[in-house]
This record gives sequence, structure tokens and C-alpha cells, in this order.
Amino acid sequence: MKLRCIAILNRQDTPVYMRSFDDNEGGGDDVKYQHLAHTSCDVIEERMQKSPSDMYLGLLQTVGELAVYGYVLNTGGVRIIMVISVPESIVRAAAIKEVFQQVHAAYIALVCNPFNEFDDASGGGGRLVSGKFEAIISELGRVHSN
Amino acid sequence: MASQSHAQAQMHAHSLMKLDNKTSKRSTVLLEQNIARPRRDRVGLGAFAFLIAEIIRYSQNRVMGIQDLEAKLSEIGQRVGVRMFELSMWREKTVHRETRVLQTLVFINTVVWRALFDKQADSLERSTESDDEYMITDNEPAILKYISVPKEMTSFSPGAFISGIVEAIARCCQCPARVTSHVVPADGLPLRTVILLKFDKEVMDREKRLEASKH
Repeated sequence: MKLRCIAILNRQDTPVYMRSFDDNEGGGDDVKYQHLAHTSCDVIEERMQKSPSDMYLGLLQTVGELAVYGYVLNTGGVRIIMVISVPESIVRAAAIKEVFQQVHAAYIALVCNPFNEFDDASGGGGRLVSGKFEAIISELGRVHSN
Repeated sequence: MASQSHAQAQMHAHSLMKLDNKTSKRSTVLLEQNIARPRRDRVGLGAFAFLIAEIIRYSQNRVMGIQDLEAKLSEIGQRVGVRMFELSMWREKTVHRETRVLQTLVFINTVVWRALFDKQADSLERSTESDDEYMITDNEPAILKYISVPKEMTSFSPGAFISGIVEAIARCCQCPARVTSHVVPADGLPLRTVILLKFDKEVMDREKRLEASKH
């Protein structure tokens, strides 16, 4: 499973964090992932209504060779979006869920940091900036880059 | 020996998760412990008493008046409350977030109080005069044990810190309220603190609508 991008959106669907793992194309491709994140918002809302008792939302859409998966946090609607290259072999939902849970855990650790000014209680759109969080996401990208 | 919990751990710079939970070793250093499974989730009361005394002194140097002091402590408490909410929901692993008034109050009384103070809040009451006021009572808030209020400031309640935490959690549960704390000594309990929550009008209207639509 090749991880291409991880994005975190807040409740108002503003991207709060975006990280792409394509090392060859540079900044131009971020626009592609932002576009994907925005188009997935409606699908997220739809899925949330359909199955309100599940954090993992499953496959949201596929565009070309990219598949987009979604995940909602239980504390009020922060969303995590993951884009992977469509794999040759079948990807188990459990593997995707595991990656989401690791991102969730890293996010919780980040929010608990009292020195981090990111405050989502009022829906403000601060950006997530933290060396350790970036390190975890980079590690995830490295592990799932085959 | 009284003990405390994650509120202090959050006051210090909180460490992060190791990527693979299964192989992380038990670390004796507080900052490197896994936040999902706290092995030693108690902080000595002495350490925290020192911290909160310093917080109060820091706030007092920057404000003029008791109201401002309580507001500042409440603001600091709110920062703790937001993080406490995220952490509690993560630990509970439930998907459902409380949005009704009564469930939110029960959540605060049990889960949050247990995580912060290692006990449940002593009572939850609804005020008889107005139906949008609720009171959470803590007979002896451990974190305020070593704070003594001078005679000229008897209207000041150091529980403003706790009321800030409660206010942030109520707001995260979509039930915004004005929260204040009052010291109401009873016999044998000189530190008895009552946290008064006055829910906003739109919350009470919503509750009425939901109640009506259920019947």
C-alpha cells in the first residue's frame, strides 16, 4: 500500500494539516490533494449520517490511480483523509484503520501539548505545527511506501 | 497520599506516542509514557500544589480585582479542559459524543472527575429556582487543599480553575454554559466547592424541543 497523502480537516472542512509523500514532484502536487480533500467533504458528511456509530468511513472515492479513505474523530468532527495509490492486491480495511488510528493517536498527543496553540474548540483554523507530529507522519509514510 | 492525574501531565510538555504501541517499553520517565495506557498516572499532590500556587500568583500579578483573577484562572482551566476532553474521548474509545445536557453533566461528574481527581464528583443537583442551573459539588477538591484565601478576598474562589475545565468540556459537548465556582463550607468540610453551571438559552430551548419531539 503506497501512502500518498494525509490531510486533516476541521469541522468547517478547512484543511488544518496536509502532508504529501511524493518526493519527486515538489509543491505542485499539493493542489491536487487539496482538491481531493475538498471534493471528499460531501461524501464524508453523507457517510457520517449513514453510519453515525463508526469512526472509520471507508473508501470515499477513487480518482484515476488514487483512492481516498476517510475517518472522523469522535470528539466533534475533525476529519482525517488518506490518499493511497490504487494497489494491485486488495488492501484490507484493517490495515487502513490501523494507519488512521496511529494518526489519531499522534493528533491526540499533539493536542495535549500545552505549548501548542491549536485550539479547535471554537472551530478556529489554526495550522498544526509540531516537529514530533511531522516525525510520526513521516514514519508512517516511510513504512507504507511499498 | 493524595494523588492527581493527567491535568498536571498536560501542564508539563506532554510527550508523544511511540508508533508501535505493542513494543514500547515501560519507561520510568513521565514524559515518555504512552498516553493511551498510563502506567503511572498519578502525580504527587505536593508537586501540583506548588504548580497551582504559582499559577495563582502569576495570575494575581497580572490582573486587578477578584473578577479578573477568577476569569484568568478560568481561562487557564479552559485550556486544560479542551485537552482533557480530547484525551478522555480517546481513552473511552466510544464513538458517541454526549450532546444532551444531562448526559454531559454525568460525563463530567464521572469520567472527567475520575480522570482528573481520581474520584467522582460528590453530587449533581439541579437548582430549584431556575431550570437552567445545575450544581456540581466537590466536598474537598484535592488541588485546592493548600490554597488559603486571605480575609480581604473571601469572595474569591480558587475553584475558578476547576470551573474553567468544566466550562471547556461543556462547550466541547455543544452545551455552552457560564460556569462559576463558589465555596460553600459545610460542617467539617471547609473547602467544599460548588461549581454552578448556567446553560445558555439556546441549549435549554434545544433541550425542550428534543424532549417534546420524543413524546
